[in-house]
Amino acid sequence: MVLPILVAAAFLFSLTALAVRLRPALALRKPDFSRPRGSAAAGVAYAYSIGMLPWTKQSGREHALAYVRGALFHVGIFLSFAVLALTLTPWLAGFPAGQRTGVALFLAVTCLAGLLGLWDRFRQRNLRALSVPEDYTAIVVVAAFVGLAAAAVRWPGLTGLFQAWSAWLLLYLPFSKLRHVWFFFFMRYFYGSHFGHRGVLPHPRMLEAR
Amino acid sequence: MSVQGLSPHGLNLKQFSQEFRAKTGPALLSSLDACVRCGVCAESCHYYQADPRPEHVPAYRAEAVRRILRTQDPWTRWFPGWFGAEPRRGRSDEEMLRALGDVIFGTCTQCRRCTLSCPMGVDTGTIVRTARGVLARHGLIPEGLKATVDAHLKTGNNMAVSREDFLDTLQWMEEQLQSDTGDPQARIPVNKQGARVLYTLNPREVKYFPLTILAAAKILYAAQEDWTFSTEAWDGTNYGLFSGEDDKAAEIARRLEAEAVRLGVQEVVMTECGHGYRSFRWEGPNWLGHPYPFRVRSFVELMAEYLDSGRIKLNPAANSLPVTYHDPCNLARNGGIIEEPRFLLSRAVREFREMTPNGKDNYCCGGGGGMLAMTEYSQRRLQAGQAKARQIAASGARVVVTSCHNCVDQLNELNRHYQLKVKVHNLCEIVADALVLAKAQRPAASGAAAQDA
Repeated sequence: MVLPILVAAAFLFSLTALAVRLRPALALRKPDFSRPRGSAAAGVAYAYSIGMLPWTKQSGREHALAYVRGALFHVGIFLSFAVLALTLTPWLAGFPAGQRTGVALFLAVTCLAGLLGLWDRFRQRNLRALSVPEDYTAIVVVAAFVGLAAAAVRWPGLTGLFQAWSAWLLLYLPFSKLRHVWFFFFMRYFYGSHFGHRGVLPHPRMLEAR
Repeated sequence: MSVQGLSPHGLNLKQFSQEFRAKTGPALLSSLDACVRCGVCAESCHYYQADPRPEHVPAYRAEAVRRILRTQDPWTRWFPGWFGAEPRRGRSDEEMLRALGDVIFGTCTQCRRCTLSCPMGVDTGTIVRTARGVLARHGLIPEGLKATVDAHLKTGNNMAVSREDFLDTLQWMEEQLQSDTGDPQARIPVNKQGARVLYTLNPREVKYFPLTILAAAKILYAAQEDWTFSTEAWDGTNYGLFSGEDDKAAEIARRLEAEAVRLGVQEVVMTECGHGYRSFRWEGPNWLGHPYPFRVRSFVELMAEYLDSGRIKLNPAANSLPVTYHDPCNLARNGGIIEEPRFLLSRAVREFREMTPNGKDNYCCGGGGGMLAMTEYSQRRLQAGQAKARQIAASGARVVVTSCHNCVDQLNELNRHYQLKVKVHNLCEIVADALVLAKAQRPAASGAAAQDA
């Protein structure tokens, strides 16, 4: 019973700390006084949909493997949070063993994708130059979180360890670059509304823009 | 003098951080915290394309600013090295800020190509501009850039062209217009109260390239536009965009706005100047904190409207060499003007060839960000133009057309440096050469052909 309370407390701490960090961003943007050429709303819709597809941008086309690896890792992270929520309920034990093994295997693959990212950070010159020590630990902390989620799904006896690690992750998150999990959504909003307002993304036909 | 030789007048890391944070809105705050240093932005940068080293990765550039900010970040200052604060390595605050100045003034044109390529949408160009503004406020700004902004504020234009020289040039061009059109009534109006359009210029047109004024005047004449120049505020440029000094940028925009209001125009049309267009069209209202009571458009948009509505007619036979178009970052990526120049060229030239990539994805030529005013970075600028030079060569075009005076200057330098053997022109020159005038007067060479001569 102690561990679920610890997880809940860590979650509340994380949320509060991020809200403080995010406070200026929560004000959303100042009004844009320039006359629009496109639509800010369309830009936001684009930023959260088509604009996230890897082939719509050079980085996605030239780093397709890294993109797929990163996407897979992030799917695993979100799934692990779902698993964490389920461990706080009696429902997880009710899933059939076959399904649990399948989910555990998938999570293990996503964990591997995260560790490959760590390998890239050691291996590639640009990434080494860009990285700070926290970049490495952040990946380790999250990859361990996903790996332990996989283990807890397959072997329920490890649930306590998974919950304890999750609490640590949630406490660490606001101080780490992991807070991009929140800023990502704000960033895409600002990006979309800015370039949408100017008619760059999505780009309206010439006559519509007049 | 480069920023390395300047002193930031007592600015320390704490003050830099405080002033930067004070200028940080929600979008910029997100840009500071959303980057995960994945490095996939590398290839989007023309500096990296020319010289692929880690220092030229856009994220690295933004990190230079973030690393300074982290030294003062109350959330991470207890473990600064761990979270990536700039290590002191025995340097004073001033030395650290000078090193930052060299990165943000000398290796970024604020073209924002990396922003479109970033999976998050991190706006490195704006991070760089904001940091430039803080350093500039304390005197850490390349002399050429500072002088350009100061000249604009002091004399009303960034090249300190006198009123007499300006009027003499317009009179000369008016005589040329009358000669070219065969119409002794053809005019270049000045200070015309109640004109529909106020047309702005880049001072280099007055000083070095007056025939672009003639080309624009000829198009406005052919379209029978009701337009005017102003002697009080005719310079459409605004190097405050590049220095990051919002107060100075706002003052330059305010003067043009006030003159447009005084003359009672319906529309301000920006000459083919990329940063001038972006400054006044998009940033100006936000620097001033209110919308304009008139419309602002680029001359490219107006020309396209003339052609689309049949107010001007073009004969592509006048431009027979293969032509390509360089999208200025401030028009295309920062303003959405992508189809208009292609529409014009499709009617004004015989053969049009696209560069790859183009439009919003076009590579910066390297002349943006105030680079042409910062002579200490000339070698870097020419090297950074390598990606553009390759694009031009690959297109096989003989003529490069663009809609930005800074781009024209940089492209001309790239032409010489990389021996591209092309001609470089503003779009209005090409359009003017292709004009079919209603009264059957054959247009004499006034645009591209005259510039070539």
